Amino acid sequence: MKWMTPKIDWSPNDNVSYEDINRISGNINYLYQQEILKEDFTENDIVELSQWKAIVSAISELSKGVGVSRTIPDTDTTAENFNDVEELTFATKEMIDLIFKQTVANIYAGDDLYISDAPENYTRGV
Amino acid sequence: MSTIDIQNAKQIRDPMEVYCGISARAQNDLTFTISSDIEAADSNVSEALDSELWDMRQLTDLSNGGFPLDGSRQWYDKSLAGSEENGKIGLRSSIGGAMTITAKSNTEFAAVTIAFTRGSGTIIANSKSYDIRRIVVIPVNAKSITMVVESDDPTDRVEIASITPGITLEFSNENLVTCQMALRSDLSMDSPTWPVSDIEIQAYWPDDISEAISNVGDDVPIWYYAGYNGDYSEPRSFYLSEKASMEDNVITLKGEDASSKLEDKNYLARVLNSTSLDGRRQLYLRFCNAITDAGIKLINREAAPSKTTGTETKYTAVFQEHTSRDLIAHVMNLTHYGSFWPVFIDSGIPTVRWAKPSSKWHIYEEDCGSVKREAERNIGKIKSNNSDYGISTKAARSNTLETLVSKSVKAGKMYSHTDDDFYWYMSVTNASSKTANANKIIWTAQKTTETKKVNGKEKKTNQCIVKGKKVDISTLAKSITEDNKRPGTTLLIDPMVLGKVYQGTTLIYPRHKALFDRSNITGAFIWKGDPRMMPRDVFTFHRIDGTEEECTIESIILSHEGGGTTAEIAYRKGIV
Repeated sequence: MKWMTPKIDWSPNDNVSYEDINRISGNINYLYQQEILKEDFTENDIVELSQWKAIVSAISELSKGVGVSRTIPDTDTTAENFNDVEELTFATKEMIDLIFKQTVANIYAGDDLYISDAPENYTRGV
Repeated sequence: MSTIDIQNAKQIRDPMEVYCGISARAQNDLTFTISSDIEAADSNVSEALDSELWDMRQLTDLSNGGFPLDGSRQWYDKSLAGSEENGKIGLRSSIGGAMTITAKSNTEFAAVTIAFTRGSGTIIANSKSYDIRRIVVIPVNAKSITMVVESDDPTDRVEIASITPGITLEFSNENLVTCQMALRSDLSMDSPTWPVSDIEIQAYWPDDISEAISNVGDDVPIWYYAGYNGDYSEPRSFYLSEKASMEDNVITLKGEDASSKLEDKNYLARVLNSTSLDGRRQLYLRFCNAITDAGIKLINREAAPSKTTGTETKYTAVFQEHTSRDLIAHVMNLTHYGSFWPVFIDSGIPTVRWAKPSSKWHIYEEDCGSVKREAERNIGKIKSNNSDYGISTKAARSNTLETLVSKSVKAGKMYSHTDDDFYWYMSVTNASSKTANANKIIWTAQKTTETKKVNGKEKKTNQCIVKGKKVDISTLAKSITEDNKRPGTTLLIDPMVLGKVYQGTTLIYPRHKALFDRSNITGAFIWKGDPRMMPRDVFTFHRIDGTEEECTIESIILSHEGGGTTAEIAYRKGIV
C-alpha cells in the first residue's frame, strides 16, 4: 500500500479515470493499513454505487475517529464531492501523522537514554 | 428567427436533414437470457430491453478516459430496476468483449430490431453476420433466436439500448434515396371527395430483410420530419398502405394518412339541437365528433367557440347517415362565414380548427418555377341531386309521440328498428341496453311475447313497442342561383345535413353563398419547399408585377432526393 498525493482541485471539466479511483481507494487503504477497498479498477470497470458508498463510509469513519471534521460527500458525481473526499482523506492523514508524531515524542520524552533524540517540538517545550 | 426561415431566405439553402422510418413492432413478449462478457445490465433486463422509449442512463464508466464531474453521471446501482422514471442500462459489454443473447417468445416472430447506442463489431445470428449499426434488424421466423454480439474494438464496449420484436427502421440522409409526400386537402365541391395524403420512402438497407419486411401488416405507422438541427417540422404519421418491399438493398415503403379511416364506416344519422346562442359551438362539436368517431386521433384541436348571450331561438338539424369523409367535406364547404371557418386537415398531423386562417407564409414568384394560373368556370347554380330533399330544407321538431312498430320478441335477443323518417326522440318498451340515433333504435328484449285469448280474441303481451317524436323535414328550395345570376356551371349537391344552424340571426349552415363566393382562379408552381407547410394554409403570393394575393394551398408534393428538397404547390386564390 502506497500513499499518493491527493488531487484537491477537481473541476467539472475533469474526467475521473481508473487511476484516480485507485488512488482514492489506495490512500484510504493506506490509512487503514489494510485493503478494505478495491484498488485495482481498470478501464473495463463501471464504478458501482456500493463501491462509492464504501469509499465515503470508510474515510468518514476514520476521520471521525481521529477528530477530523470536514464535509462528507454525497452520491452526486460532481467535482465538489471528489474534492471533498480527497480533502477529507488528506486531512485525516495529516491528523494521523500528527498523532503519530506526538505519540513518538511522548515515548522518547519519557526515556532518559533517548532524550537527546526527542522530537524538536518537545525539546522546545511545545 | 427559426433556422428553417433563415435557410429559406437564402438563394441556395443548406441540405435539409430528413428523418423517417417505420415502426412495425410485433405484439410478442420477449424474454432474454444473457451470458458472456456483460459488464452492466438492468435487474429487469427483459422489461428494459423491450422498452425502447426509456432513456439510457449515463453511468460512471471508466472506459475511454473515464467520466466527467459535471453531475451528469450516475453510479451503477444494481438494485435500481429500469423504468421510465429511472431510465435503464440495457446491455453493456466488457471492453472488447462478446455478449450472447437469447430472445424467446411463446409464438413465432418475424424479426427483432436491435438499437445500439455505442460500439462497433458484428452480430452473428442464424449463421449470418450483421454489422453493428445504430439500428439492426435480424430476421427470425421462429420462437427464439440466439445472437452473439462481438466488439471489434479492443478498447471499447458495445451498448444495446433495446431489442424489440418486429421491425423498426430509421432512415436519414445517410441512407435515404428518396422521400416524397403528397399532402392534400380537398377544396372542391363537385364530387365531395377527400383525397388522402400519402408518402413514399425509398432507402438503402445493407442487410437482406426482404422476407421479413414483406410480411409487415397494413396500418403499421410510418413517421417523418425534416428541418435543421434544433428546428424541425412537427412529426407526421402515415400508415402502411401497400406491401413493403426490398430489392437490390433498397426498401420501398408506401403509406397513407389517417384520413383514409373516414371512409371505413358510416357516421350514423344524428339530430343536432342548437340555439342562436350556440350554433357555432354545437356544429363544431358535431364536426369534431364525426372525425373522432371514425377512429382518428386528433393531434391539434382548437377548443370549441363559447356560447354567446342574447335572445335564444331553437333550431334543429339532422345529419343523415353518410361516411364521415363525405359529411366533413360537405360541412367544410358550406359553413365558412365571418370568423367561423371549421376545417379538418390530416396530411400526417390530424388537426381541426374553427377560426378563420390568415396568411402564414410569404412566397415570392421570382423564387418559383413553372408558375401556372388558370380560371375554372364559375358556379352559376347549385341544385340538389336528392329527389326527397331540396338544396335548402327546414327541420322542425314534432311533439306528437307516434307508435312506429310493435314487435313480438324473445327474452334476451337483440332487435332493431330502422325508419325512413327522422326522430329527435325514440323509445321502446320491454327493453334494456337501448341505443338510438335519428332513425334507428337497437335494444335487447327483457320478456318473451305471449299470446293469450281474451274474450275470444287473441291478445299479445310483452311486445316491444317502438315510439318516436318526429323531425319534420320540408323542402324550401330545390336549387339556388347566384345573386347576380352570373353564367356558370350547375353544381349538384347531395344535401347530407337537413335543416339549418344559426349563430345569432346569421345562417351559418348551409351557406351556399360560400360556394358562389369562392374564387375560380387556381394555380400551381414549383418552389424550394418547407416541411412545416400544410394544405389549407394561407400564404401571401408576391407576384412579379408587384401585386400580392392571399391564396390557400390545395396540395403540396414535397420531395427529398439527392440531398435537395422541392415542392410542387397547387393553390386557389383567396381564403377558402
